[in-house]
Amino acid sequence: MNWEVVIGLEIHTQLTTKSKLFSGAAVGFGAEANTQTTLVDLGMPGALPVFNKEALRMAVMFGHAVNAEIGMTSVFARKNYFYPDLPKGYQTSQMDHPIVGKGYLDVTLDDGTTTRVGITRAPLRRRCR
Amino acid sequence: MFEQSISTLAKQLKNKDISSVELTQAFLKRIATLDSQLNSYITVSDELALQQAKAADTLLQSGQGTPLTGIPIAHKDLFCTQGTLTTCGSKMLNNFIPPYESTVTSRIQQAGAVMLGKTNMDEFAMGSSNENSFYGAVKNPWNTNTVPGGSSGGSAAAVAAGLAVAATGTDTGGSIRQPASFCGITGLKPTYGRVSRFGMIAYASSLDQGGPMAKSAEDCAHLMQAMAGFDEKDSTSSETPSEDYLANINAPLTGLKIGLPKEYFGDGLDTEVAKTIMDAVKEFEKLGATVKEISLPNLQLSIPSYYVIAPSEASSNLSRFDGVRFGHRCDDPKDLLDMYMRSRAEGFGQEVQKRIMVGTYALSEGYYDAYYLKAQKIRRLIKEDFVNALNEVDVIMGPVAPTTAFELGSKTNDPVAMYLEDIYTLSVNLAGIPAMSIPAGFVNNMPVGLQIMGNYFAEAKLLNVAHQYQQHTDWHLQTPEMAKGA
Repeated sequence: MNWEVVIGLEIHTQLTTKSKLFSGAAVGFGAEANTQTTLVDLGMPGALPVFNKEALRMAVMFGHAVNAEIGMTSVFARKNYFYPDLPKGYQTSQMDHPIVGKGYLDVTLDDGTTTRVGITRAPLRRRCR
Repeated sequence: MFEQSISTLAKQLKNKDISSVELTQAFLKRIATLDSQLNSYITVSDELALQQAKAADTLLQSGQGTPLTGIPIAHKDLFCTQGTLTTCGSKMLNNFIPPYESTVTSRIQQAGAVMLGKTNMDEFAMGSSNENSFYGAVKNPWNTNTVPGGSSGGSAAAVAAGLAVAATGTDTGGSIRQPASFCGITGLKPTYGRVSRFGMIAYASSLDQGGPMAKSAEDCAHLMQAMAGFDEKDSTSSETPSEDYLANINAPLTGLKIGLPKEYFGDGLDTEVAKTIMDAVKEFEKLGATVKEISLPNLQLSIPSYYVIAPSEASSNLSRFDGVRFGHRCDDPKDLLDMYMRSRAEGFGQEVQKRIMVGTYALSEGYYDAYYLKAQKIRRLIKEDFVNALNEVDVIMGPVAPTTAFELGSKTNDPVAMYLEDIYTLSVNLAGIPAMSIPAGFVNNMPVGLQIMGNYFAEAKLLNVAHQYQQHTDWHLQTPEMAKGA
């Protein structure tokens, strides 16, 4: 019997934008507590998200780099649940229509052969970390 | 004085016949004397109002200012006002003092208006009678045994009783238009996206819209001048340029094509109310308009569609109220889950809890497609009905509510009956078009509102149509007895 191994990787990668995906707060490791947060991040009543265009540009660049379909219409949806790192009680993520769709990356192995790694999708997502 | 329009008061302030401080003091005195009968205010901001009035007087002295400078108005307690308690009519926010200002209140303040206080409302904008407030029900100034309508009941009652020159409201399923109808005042729900929702505590994000409530269309236009327009802090606000809402307000109505949807005149509409609406429509014919029957075939679907979409969006929007960073927190929480659960169970009233549960269910795995997605598809059909109709006519008219104001307590045990009150208003929010309610007469001494609906971004046209009617009729000038008592 021949077995085929299928390995999936879910990779979370932070984009090196100056501010967050939906708020103007700065990002940066090791900053003083409570200095990199806005009304939107804190889920204050009446606060509304404003999309970071630079994140879109980076996502599309990545998409082109991995030969992917670019979602000309992409949709953000809320994933609702309660958790200590979720002030709004939901995460804003892309589900059915991500910005970057199917793509691939050809990887050269040690023995000189190449193998193609398929990419299912690369959506943009906002978490609180 | 309390019956004067914004234009008249603006002239008096400009000519120094009266100062903003005097005007503000007069309104504060009226509130102190009369509001115990109505409960229309949650917070009266005397000190702040007088400070703002003084600043307005200084500006007016130097010949500057807008027509709103020095005019005392009230804000629905759903708008975040920096430094002033903002409760949303709920125990959940009974200690919430926002450190930021909503765009609507900020723009009105920058236009020079004076804030008398924050008005009472159905909790988190969920209700059609203002009986769902943690701060007690609001009474209708025309008959204090009846409801003022909701959820902007406080704003409507305050304007009708002369406790504010004008007020802001919000409308998700009829919450400006229905209280305006019940209280005999003029209200406008703008096109979705016309007015910024930043700082306007969210109920249903795809339906909510803030708008003016005043004694006349002209007064509403003054408020719209300040309120309307793109806001970069609200990505759902429209970049379509806003207009001068007063420029063409006097344009004649000859050639105006009015559509009357046959579905709005079926069973369930009180016969006297129907007659009042038809009499109002005849007035428009006298002014040169033509009337034709149209059809909005999917009207009945607006109730189930709305009562799936709105609670779904609300259940998500209200998740942020968890006792952690602001608002009500239960005593001695045992652990995180206990804090979430008890803070929310204690902070939210019955109707809010009900809608959160309905919404959570409709969005849950296995039900999302059957409920939320299906409701959104139906929504598109409802919108298409309006788009088609507005290709044939310029404006659509009809009743705002099936009856006049009902008695307090008469529908609180029958939530479905309460929801059915909204039949004529809901579809407007689902489609996102603008609509007004203007006073059109009385039935058994209680006000009846005429609804005027228009195409996307046609607020100036609606205000013009309403204004012309108000130049030829005086329903909007009537004052309830209790308002004359101070």
